Amino acid sequence: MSTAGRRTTPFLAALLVLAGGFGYLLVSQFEPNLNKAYIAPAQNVELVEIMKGLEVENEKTAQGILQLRDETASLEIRGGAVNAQVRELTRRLGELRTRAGMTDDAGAGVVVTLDDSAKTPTLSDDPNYFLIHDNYLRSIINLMRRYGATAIAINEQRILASSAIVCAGPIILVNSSKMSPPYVITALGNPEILSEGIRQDVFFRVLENYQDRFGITCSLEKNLSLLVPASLSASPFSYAHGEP
Amino acid sequence: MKPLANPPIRVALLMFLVVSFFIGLFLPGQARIIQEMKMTYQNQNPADLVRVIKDLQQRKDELLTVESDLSQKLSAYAEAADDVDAQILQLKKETVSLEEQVGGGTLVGPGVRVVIREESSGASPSILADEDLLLLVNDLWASGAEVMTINGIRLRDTTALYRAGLTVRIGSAATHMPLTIEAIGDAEDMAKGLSFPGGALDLLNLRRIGAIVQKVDLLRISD
Repeated sequence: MSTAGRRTTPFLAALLVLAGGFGYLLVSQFEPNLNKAYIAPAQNVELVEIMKGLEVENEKTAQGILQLRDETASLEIRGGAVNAQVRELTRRLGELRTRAGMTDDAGAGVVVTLDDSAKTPTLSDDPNYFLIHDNYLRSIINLMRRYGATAIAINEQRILASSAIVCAGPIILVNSSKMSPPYVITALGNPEILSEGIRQDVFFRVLENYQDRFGITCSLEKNLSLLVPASLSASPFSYAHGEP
Repeated sequence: MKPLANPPIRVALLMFLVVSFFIGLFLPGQARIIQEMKMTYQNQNPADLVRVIKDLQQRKDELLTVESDLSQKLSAYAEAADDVDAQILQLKKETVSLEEQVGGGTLVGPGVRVVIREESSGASPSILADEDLLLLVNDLWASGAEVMTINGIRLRDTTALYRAGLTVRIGSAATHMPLTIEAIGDAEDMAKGLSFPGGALDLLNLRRIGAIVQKVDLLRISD
């Protein structure tokens, strides 16, 4: 082989490797299923169908509960109109239902919105910084309680003392209901105190920093007219009973 | 600048540059596709999907119970439309149940007691962070706790939990370590819920914070 030939061989070999890699990337760009890592496990298709079916069923039952509550309230009002004791008991029940989070609450407060980043993490980035995690929601709710929130909701889910916020992989569940970002956390209370307290907290500042660096959404707004929906799952205790 | 002597090398270099340019162009797109595909439900870990389904099923059961209770109540009201005593009885029954829920007296039932102690010896004593406590309490609610107290202070919808130096604030009350958490509910479920791998107890152990979980036949929680 000539000297020129020996010089070009490494270049051509490198070129061949690069062209091969390029060809693979190009094909997999348009046909992702070529890479077996991308093929959805067969059972997942069925699991997703079950999941979606349950969501639809739960939504339907939730609507039914709201309608039944309206009908019950109408009957109670009708009963209260003819008897003073019924009226007094109905009034007391109304107070207790409000305290138990079983009624819609409205008033002034703040709204914190958290959302995953629209940016794509580079290969050297930790993708966790680009997502909203369950512990972020727990910490924000804790902050809202700390600064006097009287009623809280995440999206359409009322947050009671017993509301659990858990994650299953990237899916966040609140009150055993699947949440989708953006997570809009509404808190009723004094807007000034809530806003000032949350903004000054180290945790909220960390989230604002993540917003600047990784593109997540972290906003806080005061609002004089907010609605926190009623809890749908406030059912009687099964294990705890009044002391005899 | 001295030109490259050998034309084949120049051509090879040029091609090298062109191919490198396109690879650079396509790599971010590839990364984006991978990221987006990972985010679709079909590409989730099946164990995570099963967990979501279990939770949704639990939610379905809860909602159906509430719906059934409301239907029964509605029927009872309708039947007692002309019977004031029956109406009063029905309303009183619900009042008692709701008073228990919102904290009108002493509640008893089975459950778990969790005692949490910080490690005060050694060069770097362990400290319970707000997030640790929030996670522990959250795991108990998630596994079916109905009522909970920390050092005797009942947790309510508006109760915040945070450290203020050595003090642990439970809403407007102040307490100190060690913390005793008592929760009424299904003791088996709650003990399991705390001890699953990667859960609150694992996290506390990693931070050298001692947590002892004890199932109790009868807890007494009062305001």
